[in-house]
Amino acid sequence: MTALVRMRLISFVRSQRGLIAPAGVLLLLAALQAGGQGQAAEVYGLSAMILFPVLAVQAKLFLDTEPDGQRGLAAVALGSQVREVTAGLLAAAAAMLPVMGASLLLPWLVGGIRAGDLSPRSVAVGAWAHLVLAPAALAIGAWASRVVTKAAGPGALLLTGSVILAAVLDQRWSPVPWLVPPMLSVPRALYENSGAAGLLLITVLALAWSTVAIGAYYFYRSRR
Amino acid sequence: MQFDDVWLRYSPGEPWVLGGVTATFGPGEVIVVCGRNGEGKSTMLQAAAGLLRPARGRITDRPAVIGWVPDQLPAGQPFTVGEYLTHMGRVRGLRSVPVVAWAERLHLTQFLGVRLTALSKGTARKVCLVQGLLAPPDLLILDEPWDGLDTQAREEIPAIIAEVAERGGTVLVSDHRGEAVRLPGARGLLIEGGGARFFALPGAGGRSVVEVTVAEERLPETMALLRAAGHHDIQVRAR
Repeated sequence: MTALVRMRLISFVRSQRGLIAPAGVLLLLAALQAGGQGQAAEVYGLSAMILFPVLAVQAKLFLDTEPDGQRGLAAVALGSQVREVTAGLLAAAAAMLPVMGASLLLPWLVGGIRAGDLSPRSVAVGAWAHLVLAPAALAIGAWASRVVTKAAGPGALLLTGSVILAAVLDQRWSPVPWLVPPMLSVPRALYENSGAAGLLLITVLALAWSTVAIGAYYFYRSRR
Repeated sequence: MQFDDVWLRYSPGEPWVLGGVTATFGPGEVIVVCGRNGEGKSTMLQAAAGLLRPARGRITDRPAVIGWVPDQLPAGQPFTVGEYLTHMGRVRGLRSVPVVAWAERLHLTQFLGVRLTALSKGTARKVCLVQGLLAPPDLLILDEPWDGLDTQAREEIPAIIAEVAERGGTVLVSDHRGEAVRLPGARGLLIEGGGARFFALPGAGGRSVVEVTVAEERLPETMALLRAAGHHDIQVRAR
């Protein structure tokens, strides 16, 4: 399976399909953060939220890179459709890491975080903000990918709809925030300095949502 | 491998493509899957490869190592032929991938450094064939393998099939060009109306229909020769 992950990562990098969306959002973040001298937790919370839909788009683009017939060849070569699906998700997740790394580094480069805030704790909080949303972005990207939606239109609709729904239902007043990934809860918790218990609750909710969404994706793929 | 009352369609509400197929394919057997366009030959092969899941019935005893050779290579990938085949061998868990040996056999050596997107149809078919043979398959599935190949490569297909069968592998091959006469000992499997039935291929005592074109002035002489040789003419028409 590692060999298929590697093959797909090489294919994605060479196709250069994944460059535009992350490059665009990193430029946007650089413009927003430049010279802002904000608190690390707030800055990272905001960049994790802005990056969330971009990572979902990137996951979709990643999973759409390979021609449909190649998925079948890979599944037969691996001897298991489940392993083929797993390799796709792992590779798409791995492709998110450099973008998240760049997003963590960017505020320090453009003066977006005040100098006194540079500490292992602030970097850890930033990493948490990005990582806790990544599985949900992966799940949305997977559901929007061509193997599920068959055409570009429904995929784009699903991506947009999911993010807008998250922006609506993850508001403070929402009675059902657990129906969507904690896209707003993450920056809110960091802005309000919610403490370890608050962050743990968000982590549990995010992982539970992602587990259900990715589990359903596995189930769908295994029935095809 | 056993197909046990296999029913398959692409979406609920659509017509069944396979409707109750029951068949057994043993080790060392070569099965030629025949049928008109749209009758479900490729569907049957994809089900055998494990790429399509029956809605009803089941497929059991599928061999562990399957060589799947679809009717076209998914060529839209940023790899050269050599890179692609090496990656596919690694995906199969091979430490040493026999790319060069297969490339030499199928006259692909000069294309190892060529990008997949730049290949002709025939060369892409050869690459597709090789990726299915990198690990010796227990079940080799070939969808119209002769399509687009040059004469040299077409001659290699029966030899490759024979080698797999001699090793105890099962071979399923679809054919609508009548090339299956090159496969001695093969059984025919006709997919028709959603069902499947075995039949004897021409090499095993059946008869084939061959279309030929003849210069008009030589028609009477040619027909006389064919009849004298014991052939039965069905129809003569002008082109």
